[in-house]
Amino acid sequence: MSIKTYATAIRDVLAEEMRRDERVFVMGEDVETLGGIFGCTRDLYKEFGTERIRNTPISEASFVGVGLGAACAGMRPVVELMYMDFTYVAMDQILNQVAKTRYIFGGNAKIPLVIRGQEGIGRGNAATHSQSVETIFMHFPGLKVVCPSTPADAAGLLRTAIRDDNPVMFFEHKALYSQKGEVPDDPEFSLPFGKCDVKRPGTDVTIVANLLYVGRALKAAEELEKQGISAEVIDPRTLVPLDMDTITASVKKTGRLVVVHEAHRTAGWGAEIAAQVTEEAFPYLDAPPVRLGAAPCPLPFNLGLENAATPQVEDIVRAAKSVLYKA
Amino acid sequence: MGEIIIMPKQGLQMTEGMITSWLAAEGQEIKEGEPLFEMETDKLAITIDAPCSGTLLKILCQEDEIAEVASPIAVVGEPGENYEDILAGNPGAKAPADSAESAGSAANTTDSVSEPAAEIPASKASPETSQERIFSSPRARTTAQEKGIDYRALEGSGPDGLIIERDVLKAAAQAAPSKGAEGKTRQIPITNMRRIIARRMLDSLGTLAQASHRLTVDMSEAVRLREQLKARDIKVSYNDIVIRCTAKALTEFPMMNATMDDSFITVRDYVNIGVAVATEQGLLVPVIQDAHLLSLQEISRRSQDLSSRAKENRLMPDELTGGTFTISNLGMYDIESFTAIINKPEAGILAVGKMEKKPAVRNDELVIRPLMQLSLTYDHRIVDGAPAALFLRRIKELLENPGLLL
Repeated sequence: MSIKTYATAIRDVLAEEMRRDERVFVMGEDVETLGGIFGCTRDLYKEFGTERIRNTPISEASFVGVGLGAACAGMRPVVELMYMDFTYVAMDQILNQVAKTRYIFGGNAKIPLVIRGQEGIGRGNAATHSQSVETIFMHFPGLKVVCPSTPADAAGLLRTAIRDDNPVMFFEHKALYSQKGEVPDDPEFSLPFGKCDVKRPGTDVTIVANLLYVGRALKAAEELEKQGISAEVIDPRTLVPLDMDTITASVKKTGRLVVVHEAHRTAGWGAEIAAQVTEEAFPYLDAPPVRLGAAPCPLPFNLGLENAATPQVEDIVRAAKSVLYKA
Repeated sequence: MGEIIIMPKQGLQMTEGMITSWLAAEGQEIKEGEPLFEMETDKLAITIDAPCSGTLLKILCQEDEIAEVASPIAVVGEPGENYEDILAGNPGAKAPADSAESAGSAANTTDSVSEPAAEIPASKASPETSQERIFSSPRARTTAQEKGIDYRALEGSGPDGLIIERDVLKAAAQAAPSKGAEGKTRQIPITNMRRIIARRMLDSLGTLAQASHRLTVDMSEAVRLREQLKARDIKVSYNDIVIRCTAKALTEFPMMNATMDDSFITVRDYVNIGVAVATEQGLLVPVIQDAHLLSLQEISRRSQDLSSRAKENRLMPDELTGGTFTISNLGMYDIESFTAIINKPEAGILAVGKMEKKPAVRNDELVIRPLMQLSLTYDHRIVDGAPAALFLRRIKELLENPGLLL
């Protein structure tokens, strides 16, 4: 075990996988000598050279397309988007080409492509650089959607993503990059997709959260414990594939569900989970599932307003108490 | 349009009935012709359809309660109507499955409640409040079912009185029985059918002079007869053969086919044989009418039909009454011989045991024969021992010489 930041954990897995398999290469804006704006590729060019750590122009549509072509041709590209908000620029490539090529060609092409980058609030990056966009990619079939919340999850899930023969959207969170945690040193350490992590067991209410909100949900659970409420906190880790079995089993136990995410509340992925739980565990529900998410407004530049537009720890506490019919 | 539903009369001898299950709850809409409740009489269990449409305002006769025939058991009306007004102002009542008088009384009903009904909106805030729909969370209902708690009776602590899990858990904790001895007992409500069986058995043993005779019948010829028929694809049971022989014997021994009250012994020129059938609910005795006129095959058909419908609870009340003699067979349970209790007011009952190959002595030789024991219980008030013995011996004779049936 080593203590690493979330960013370093990602960089080390990239390096290990490039050493292990020469078909793996990294491509993106300022990934070369700058090492990416959050340092996820720092110094990698020194070991692997600028052929395998390749800078691109500011042209997301084209270099995502290049990544798809390279993947079809047998490479295993890792394409970095500086902000996952910029997936919109490459949306035709991602949703119409990357997600569908293998299907359209009857399975004849493998697409071992990882599109990774960061998203989210925390730095006052304003409306077009602070969004949480993972829900969109869950809606369209053909993409796996990964959202690690810890350095170890980032390492284990990124390795699984790079070794996957299908396209993976890999969502990191800008406010988590400096977070430190234990990461196994085993160069084969990987985590399976479609397996929730129960971060904290509990009996009274199930709280499902991802990315930055896993930490906030755990803080809320601590506060709830002081008030005599036992909250179970679950991180789905991958939205596609989604481990509903663990979530449904938890809600059958607790009878109450709060889903909290940074993505907008309206039609956010929490709505999907709430709906599936209602379908599968209706007789076990003691209260309607509650969703918490960003307000239906573009994310503000001002940090105070950014907080006002997104769920805070006390909002999670309040929601958990509301489904327990406690004031 | 208030309607009072009364306990319907099912069969001539019915005086009271027990509601075993309501199929609609208070406040629920019911539709004419759709099943409304299940009930039991001393003769049968039956599902009764709603005689009219409307909202089931009030159930007057709860499950497991007994009501006399024609007494009110429920009130139907418009949502929000006061059932007491309907009960008070409505002499006419509506019996399920009996529409003979309903037209007139329904007209009365409308007139008599129209005035009080007009006052209701003034005294009550809104019609909805009186309907008292109970809101509860799915989990509360699931937990209530697991814990055996009636959640509808609970006071909800959730928003707007919503019954939630903790209300059920609280009730379950209060209802938890105190720790007692290790062995547990359980009290089962006595069904109407069980009550009736108990009363009739006790009445029979307490008021008749019951005595019994036994003998063993060699069934070799009956076996041969059955096999001859079977070879021609005609299936009859040994019990059918016993019924046929008994019916013939009864025509020759009218006192065994008689009934007795304080003044008279009533003899009949017809034979109706009751056949005891074990059902899940208890003992039923459907009757084969005019058994003395029926061929063996006809008896077999009637007997099969009655016993299968008895087990499905689909007998008509009239098929359970009018017997003049009863036959009970426990051979299929390996019982060799037993004493049956007379089905009052009949004069006798024949208990049939298991037919089994056994050693028998014929011409001083030991041979194997299919033997069967018959046990006749008779009412010594009506029949003396000797004629009863002759009657039983005649049945034996017929069974051993089935050609005599021709």
